[in-house]
Amino acid sequence: MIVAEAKTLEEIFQLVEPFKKILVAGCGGCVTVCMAGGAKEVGLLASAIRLSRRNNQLEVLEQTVLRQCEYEFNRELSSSVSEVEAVLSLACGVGVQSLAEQNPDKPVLPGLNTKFMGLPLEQGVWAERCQGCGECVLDKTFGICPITRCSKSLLNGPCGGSQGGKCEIDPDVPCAWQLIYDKAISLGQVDRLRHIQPVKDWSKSRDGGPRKVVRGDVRLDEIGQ
Amino acid sequence: MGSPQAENRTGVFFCNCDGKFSDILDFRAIISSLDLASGEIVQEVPGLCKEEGQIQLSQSIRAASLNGLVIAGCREDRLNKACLHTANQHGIGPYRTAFVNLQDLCVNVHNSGGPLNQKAAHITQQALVGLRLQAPVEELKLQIFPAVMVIGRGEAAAEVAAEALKQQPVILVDEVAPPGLDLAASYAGCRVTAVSGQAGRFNVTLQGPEEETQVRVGAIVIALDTPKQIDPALNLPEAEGIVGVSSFRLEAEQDWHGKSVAFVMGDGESQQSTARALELALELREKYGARVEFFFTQMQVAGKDLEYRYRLAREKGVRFNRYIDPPDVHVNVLGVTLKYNDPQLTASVPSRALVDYLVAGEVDLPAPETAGLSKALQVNMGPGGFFQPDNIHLLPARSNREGVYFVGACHHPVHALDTALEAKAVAAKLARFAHGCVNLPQLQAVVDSEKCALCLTCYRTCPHKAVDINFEAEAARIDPLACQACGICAAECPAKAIELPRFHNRQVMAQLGYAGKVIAFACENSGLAAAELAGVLSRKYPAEVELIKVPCAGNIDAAYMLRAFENGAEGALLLTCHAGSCKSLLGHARAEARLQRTREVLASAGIKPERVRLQTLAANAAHKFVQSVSNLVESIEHGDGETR
Ligand code: SF4
Ligand code: SF4
Ligand code: SF4
Ligand code: SF4
Repeated sequence: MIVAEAKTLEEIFQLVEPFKKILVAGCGGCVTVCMAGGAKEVGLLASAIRLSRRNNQLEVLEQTVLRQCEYEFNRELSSSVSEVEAVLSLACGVGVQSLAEQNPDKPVLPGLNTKFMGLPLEQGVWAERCQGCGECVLDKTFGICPITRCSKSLLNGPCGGSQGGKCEIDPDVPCAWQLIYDKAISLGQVDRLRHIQPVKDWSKSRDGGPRKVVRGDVRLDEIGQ
Repeated sequence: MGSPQAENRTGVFFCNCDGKFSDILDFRAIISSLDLASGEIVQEVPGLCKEEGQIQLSQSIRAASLNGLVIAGCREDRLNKACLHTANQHGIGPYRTAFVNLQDLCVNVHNSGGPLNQKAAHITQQALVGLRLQAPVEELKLQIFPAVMVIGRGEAAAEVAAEALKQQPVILVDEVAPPGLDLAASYAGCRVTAVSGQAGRFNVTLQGPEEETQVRVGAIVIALDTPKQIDPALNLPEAEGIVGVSSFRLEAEQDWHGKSVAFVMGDGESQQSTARALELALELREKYGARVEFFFTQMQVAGKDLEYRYRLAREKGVRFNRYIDPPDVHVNVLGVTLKYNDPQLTASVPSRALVDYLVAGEVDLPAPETAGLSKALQVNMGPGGFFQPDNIHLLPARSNREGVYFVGACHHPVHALDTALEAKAVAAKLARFAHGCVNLPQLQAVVDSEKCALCLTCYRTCPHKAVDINFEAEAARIDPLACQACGICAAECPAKAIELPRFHNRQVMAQLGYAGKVIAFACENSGLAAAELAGVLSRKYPAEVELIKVPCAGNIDAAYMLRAFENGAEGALLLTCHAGSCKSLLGHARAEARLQRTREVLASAGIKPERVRLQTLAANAAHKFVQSVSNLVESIEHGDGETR
């Protein structure tokens, strides 16, 4: 899932400073699960904003949709959006942008900082696991992503900074390549790591510019044409 | 989650206690300040605990065809009983009848005047909106498995199995069926590896020497035998002639006439060990006339028959020696020598005793299966690696999970002395499951599966492990038998998908619309009881302090605190049980975490974070309640609460 984190209240109060009526829009998807932007957080943030503006009236509406990254779901917001001067979205960056696209004449402000694709290690602790590089290598690295979990995204690690199983950037960060080797040893397949991985085609990742996935077989307008 | 009662026709009845309350409360002013919705009525009645009062109540119920009652009056039980009886006669159930204790929350604790009347109006109004927004309470009929599984071997397991058998089928695990018990099944040499389901419908996976078996039972009793060890604090050498009390046998062919035996008891051992030692000492004296020396530092006489046995042993000539430091013990060909300082004698020369045998006091160790079983059953462990956290609400025999109980030393050595009594107590709990069916009102938390995002927060957080995942509905599911209605999950759920039927978010938020300048969120188990006790004791405190009742401090949503301030409150107090005596184990900790978060919000909004505080207190701590609310009010009056 996408993991996000609330911006500081000070930042948010500044963002909404110019307005007299806003909508705090939550998302029922990833950010509900990572506890950053679901109905609960919408309520708490709306309260916080109202309190901060108790001497300088600001009306705050609250609404949460199933997933803000779907135009159809966002239509449920349209009547609230039309009432307000600005929307503060508590979805990830995708949600914020879809609302902004759908409401070209309204400021849509991000209430969260979108962090990464990851998982909860335990209640309240999330860790990054995938960078969406466009060409997955997990088969070669025993299910441990070197792009994400190696600080240098090395394909043939580890580097000289690997010390006692930890990455040189931080003693709390495990070296991904140590993890990969440990796993290879436990599986008795260290030999597989003797192959030098060729240079990765980063054009399939962010380096190739914004990406798009097109599935002709499920597209409807193709058939309609 | 249901919506409010379709047609709300609630009547508010103020009992002025034959005019006694009218001197202090201005009922006219109170009544005129109530916000009534259509269908709601309000009346002042002279004495509702009397027959005439009840007749008047009946007439009013009939005249307005009421389906809800708010009774505001004194604390007396007979008032409550009489009103519930009348309500019942008119088909108004207990969940449509609310009582407001004007006596203890207003009359006894505040001076007369405007603020007092406003508070009386507020607490009555809170009860009224509570009923107005209350969904009908469903009556559940749950089908369950009547059988109970007893895990363990030895005395405790046999005892609880025998007790339970009087009422329901019993399945014994890890024990060869003791003779004379008509068990439904017994699985010797099997281990419990996993449990799914909830109280009433547990599905237990047993790993046998060869195969895995699934067994379905309604309840589980853990009655593991605990290994014993000579109290290490006694510092005894390992030698022939020195044995632990549980391995000392008198029935051996040995002749004990003319022999001498010393019993050395430690300080931290179980009552069971002391009891057994006294029993052996007595027998050695009475049957064989042996010389018996009994060394102790604190005689344990609090357990069953202990004092009696101790006196009898004295009478029969057992010599009791109190020591300060454990005796110095040496063993040679002559026997066992004990060197000790008798605190009765001033001489600095140590006393000596030479005996043939030394029997040592023992401590219990946790059963080796404890950690594994605790994981498989999802029950918490407590101090010393035994089962059962140190929590007054779980004592004597409950685990944190409904339907899982303990018997014997496995949950703590202190429970080993009277396993027979404990087995009976547990059997009484098991009786609930014996009939294959349980009826109960749906007052527990409910998940709205439409809203649930399956984030697993409730599943991970619930202290009673009452939450399962319903894969068909793709939502969390709270088990009505297992749930203890603490509301912790409701306050944590990021999708706001969980509600407690009697503490629904919409009810509390509406009640917050009628609350004073200083709001004390009061846990029913501690804060509310302490506040009512303050009333009983007539301890005065400022009338701007008003209470919002919650089932547990863990249910105090950060949103409630913020709403209070939004509504103009100047201070809020979270009244919670002490961490170790929270009925829902985690309530205090969750309240503390939300307090921190709320304080951060207040600080960024320019309100002094100390305006919201947490006070731990016990149900009988009326003084602490008065002190904490008074302190908060005082600091509000003194300091400027806004930082900008
Ligand atoms: S908008 Fe973002 S957070 Fe919400 S469901 Fe879509 S991807 Fe997840
Ligand atoms: S290799 Fe690429 S796609 Fe695969 S997990 Fe790592 S970042 Fe994600
Ligand atoms: S906490 Fe709420 S959203 Fe999460 S699983 Fe439980 S009910 Fe569903
Ligand atoms: S109300 Fe309490 S006991 Fe019930 S499911 Fe929620 S957290 Fe568990």
